[in-house]
Amino acid sequence: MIEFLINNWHQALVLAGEHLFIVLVATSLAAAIGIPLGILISTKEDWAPVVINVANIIMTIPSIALFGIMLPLLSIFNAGLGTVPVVIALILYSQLPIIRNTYTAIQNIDPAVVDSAKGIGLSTWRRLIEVELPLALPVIIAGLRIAIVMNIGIVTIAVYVGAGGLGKFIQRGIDQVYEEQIMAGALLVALLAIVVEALLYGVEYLVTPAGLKEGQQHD
Amino acid sequence: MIEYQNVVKEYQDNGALIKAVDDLSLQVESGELVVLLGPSGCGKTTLLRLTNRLEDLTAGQILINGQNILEQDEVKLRQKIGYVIQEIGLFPNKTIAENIGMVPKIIGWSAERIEKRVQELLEMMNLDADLFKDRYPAQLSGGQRQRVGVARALAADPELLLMDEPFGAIDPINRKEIQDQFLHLQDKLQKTIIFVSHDIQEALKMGDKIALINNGQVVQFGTPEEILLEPANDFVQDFVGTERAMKALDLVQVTEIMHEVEYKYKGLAVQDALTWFRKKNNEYLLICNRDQKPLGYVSHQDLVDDYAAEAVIDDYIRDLYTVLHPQDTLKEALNVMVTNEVTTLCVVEEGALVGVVKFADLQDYLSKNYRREHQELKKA
Ligand SMILES: Nc1ncnc2c1ncn2[C@@H]1O[C@H](COP(=O)(O)OP(=O)(O)OP(=O)(O)O)[C@@H](O)[C@H]1O
Ligand SMILES: [Mg+2]
Repeated sequence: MIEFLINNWHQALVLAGEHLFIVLVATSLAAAIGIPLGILISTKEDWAPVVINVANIIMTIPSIALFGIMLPLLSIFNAGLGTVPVVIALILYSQLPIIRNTYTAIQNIDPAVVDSAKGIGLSTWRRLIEVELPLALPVIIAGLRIAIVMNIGIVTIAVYVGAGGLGKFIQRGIDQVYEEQIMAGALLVALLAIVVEALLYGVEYLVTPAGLKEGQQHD
Repeated sequence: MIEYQNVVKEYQDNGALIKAVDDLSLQVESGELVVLLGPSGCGKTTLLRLTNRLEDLTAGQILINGQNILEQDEVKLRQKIGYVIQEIGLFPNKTIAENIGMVPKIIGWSAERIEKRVQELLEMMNLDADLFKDRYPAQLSGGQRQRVGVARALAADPELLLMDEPFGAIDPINRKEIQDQFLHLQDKLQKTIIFVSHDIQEALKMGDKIALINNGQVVQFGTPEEILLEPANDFVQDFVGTERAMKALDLVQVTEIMHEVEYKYKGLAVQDALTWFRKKNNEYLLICNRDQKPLGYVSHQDLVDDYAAEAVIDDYIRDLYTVLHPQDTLKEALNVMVTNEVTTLCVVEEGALVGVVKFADLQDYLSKNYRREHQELKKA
C-alpha cells in the first residue's frame, strides 16, 4: 500500500484536492443558506421546530437514495451525474448541523446579555453583529466542522454518480480487485478528515471571544 | 417628566392571567429620583421594562416629557434612556471600555470622546480605569460588574435613567460609598431617575420620593419622611418595619423636638445671675451676645463662691464646643451628645440661637414613637 502511494503520490494529491474542493464549495454554499436560516428561526420561535425537523428528515435519507431521486430530476438539465448532484446532496445534508448549531448557539446566549443589549438601544442588526454572532461563532464553527467531516465521507461515496475525489481510488481498487489501492483510498480519506477536523478546531478556538477564553476567575 | 397613566401589564402564564402591573398611575418629575420599593414580584422590573418598551403595554399609556412612548422609534427611545438591568448583563465578548462605550459608539461619538468618557465614568464608579478598561466582564467580581453596568447606562449622558437594583450585588461598605457618590453626582446632574430597590434603608437614602408598590399598584407615593411617619396602611407599616422609630432618627430634624430656652446677655451681673439660678432652680444658664449669638453658658457651681459685688459673668462663661444646625437629624444630635458627653445642645441658625435640644427630649420622642409602634402592632 505504501508502495502504491509512493508510485501514485501525484494523482493522490490531485484527487485529495478535488475531494476537498467539492466539500468546501458545497459547505460554503450550505453555510450561506443554513446560518441565516438558523439566525432567522432563533427570532421566530414558531418556525424553529418545523425547520429543524425538515433538516432532520433530509439527513435520514441515505445518500445513494438521494442520488437516485435527483438523477431523473437533474437529467432534465443534463446534470444527473457529476459534481452537481454531489454538491446539492452535500448542501442538503449539511443543513441540520449548521442550522441546529446556529440556532442553539444564539438561543443559549445569556438572556440578560440580550436584554441589556436591547435595553440600551441596540437595533436587531447591531445586536447580532456586536454581541450575538461573536458569542455564537464558536458553536456555529463547530456545526460547520461536523458538516465538513461528514461531507468528506459522503463525497467518497459520490464517486458512483461521477464525482471526482479520493473515492476514485476505492472505486478503481474494487473494480480491479486491487486491495492496496482500496486501502490507500480509505486511508487518505480518513487522513483528510482528521487533518481538516484538527484545523477547524483551531479556527473554533481562534474565533472564541477573548472574554470567554480567559476562563471564569470570578463565578 | 414621566407619566404613567392607568398602566396595565398582563401576562399569560400557562392559561393563568398574571397582572404584573395593575392600573398603575404615577408621575415622576424631571430631575427627581423616585425609588420603586416593594416585595419580590410586585411588578417593579415590569414597570421599568414597559418604560423603555422592552415589554408592550396591555393598557394605559406612558408619556415621557409629554410624548407617548409608543409614538417614538423604540431603538431611539432606548438610546435616550439609560438602563441598568437587574442581572447586569454585560457583553462577555467586549472589554469593560467597549461595554461602557457601546451606546456612544452607535450614536456616533468620536473615539477620543468615548475614551475620555469611559475614563471619567470608571473613576466615578470607584474603579481604576487603567486597571479595568481592557479587562473582560468575566475577570471582574459581581460588584465590580454592577458598577460597570451603571457606568454603561450613564455613558451617553441620558436624561432619564432606569435602574433595576443597581447596587444589589455590591458589598455594604462599597455600596454606601457608591450610593453617596451617586447622590452627589445626581445633585449635579439632576437626572430623572427611577430606581428599583427592595431595601427600605436604600430607598430612604436615595429617594427624593418613594413609590411603595404592591401587587402591581402604588400603595403610597411620597417623600421618605411621609412614608416613614405617615404610613398609608398596614402594608406600608409592615414594610417600613418595626424599627421605624430608630429609622426616624435619620430623617427627623432637630427642629422637630427643639424648644425655646431662656438666656441672658453678656455683661450680666453675677448678683443677677445668682438670683436667676435660685429662682429657676437651674444649674446652667445660656449666655448670648446682642445678636442672639450663643457665647457659652455659666454654671451655678462656678458662681456660688464668688461675692465680688460688681463682678459680671463674662469671666465665667464656658465654651459650648459644639452646636447643632436646624437641618441636623436626631441621629446627629444623639451622636454629638454621646461623643461630647453633653446632654443639652444649642441649635444655631446663621449664628443665632433658635432653640435647644435636650437628651430627655430625644428619649421622649423615641419612646413615644416606640409606643405608637407597639399599639399599632397590637391592633393589627
Ligand atoms: N415574561 C413573563 N411572563 C409571565 N409572568 C411574568 C413575566 N415577567 C414577569 N412576570 C410576573 O409578573 C410579576 C411581576 O414581576 P417583576 O419581575 O416585575 O417583579 P419585581 O417587582 O421586579 O420582583 P423582584 O424584586 O423579584 O425583581 C411576577 O409575578 C412575575 O412572575
Ligand atoms: Mg425585578
